[in-house]
Amino acid sequence: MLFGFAVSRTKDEGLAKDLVQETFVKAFENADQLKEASQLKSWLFKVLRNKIIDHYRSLAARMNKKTVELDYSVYFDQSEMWQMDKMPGDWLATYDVKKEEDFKHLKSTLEECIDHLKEMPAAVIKLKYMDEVKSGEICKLLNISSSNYWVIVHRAKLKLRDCMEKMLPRL
Amino acid sequence: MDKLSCRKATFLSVKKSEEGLSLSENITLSYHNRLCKVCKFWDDQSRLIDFFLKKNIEDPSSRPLTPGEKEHIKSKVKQMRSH
Repeated sequence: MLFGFAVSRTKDEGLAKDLVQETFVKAFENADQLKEASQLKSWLFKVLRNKIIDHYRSLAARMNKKTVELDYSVYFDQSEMWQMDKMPGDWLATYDVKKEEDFKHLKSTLEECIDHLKEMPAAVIKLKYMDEVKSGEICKLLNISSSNYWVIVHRAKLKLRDCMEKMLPRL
Repeated sequence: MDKLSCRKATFLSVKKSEEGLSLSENITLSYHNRLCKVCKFWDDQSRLIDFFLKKNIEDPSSRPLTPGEKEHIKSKVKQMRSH
C-alpha cells in the first residue's frame, strides 16, 4: 500500500521504492514517537507523505519561468489567443454526465489524463483534490509563491482538458 | 470592450473555480465568454473536470510490490540501519 501510494504520487517506481525504504528507516529511527501500535499504518503514511512532499519541494525549486512560458506557447499565440490546433471543440455537448455510461467514460478518461500529467502539476492536483490540502498550505509545503501555484494549476487544467478532447471519441 | 485575452480568460476561469473572483474580474470573464465561443467551451469543460476532481476521482492505483522487491527493501533497510 505504501508503495502504491508512492508510485501514484511520484509516477516513478524506482523513486517510490527508495522513498518507501527511507520511510521504514525513518520509522525505525523514530519508533519511540509511535504511541500506539494501532496507529502504525497511518504513522507510516505520514512519514512517507512527508518524504514525498520533500521530493515535490525539490521539483518546485527546479521550476523556472522559461519552462512556464514554453508550456503556454503550446496553447496560445503571442497575442494570447488560442493556437488553431488547441482550440477547444464542443465535445461536451455529445455527452450526458447524468447517464451512467457517459459518466464512467468521462471519469476514466480524466483519470488516464491525470496519469499523463508531468510530475509537478500532477503533484499539485493530487495534493489539492485527493489529499484536500488548501492552496495556501500547498504553497507553504512546496515553498512556492501563490502566483507559481496558480500557473501550475492553470497549466494542469489546460493539459487535462486538451488530453480529454484528444482521447474522447465523439459519440 | 473586451480587453481580456483567451489565456487570461482561462486563467480567471481556473481561479474562479478555486477561490472565486472579484466582481470586476467576474464581469470581465463573463463578458469575454459571451463573445468567445471557444473560451466558453473551455470554461464548461474545465468545470466538468472540477466536478470529477472534487468529488468523483479516484487515485489511480498501482501494482503492489512483488515478494522479491519486498525482500530487497527489507535487506536495504537492514543495511542502512547497521551503518
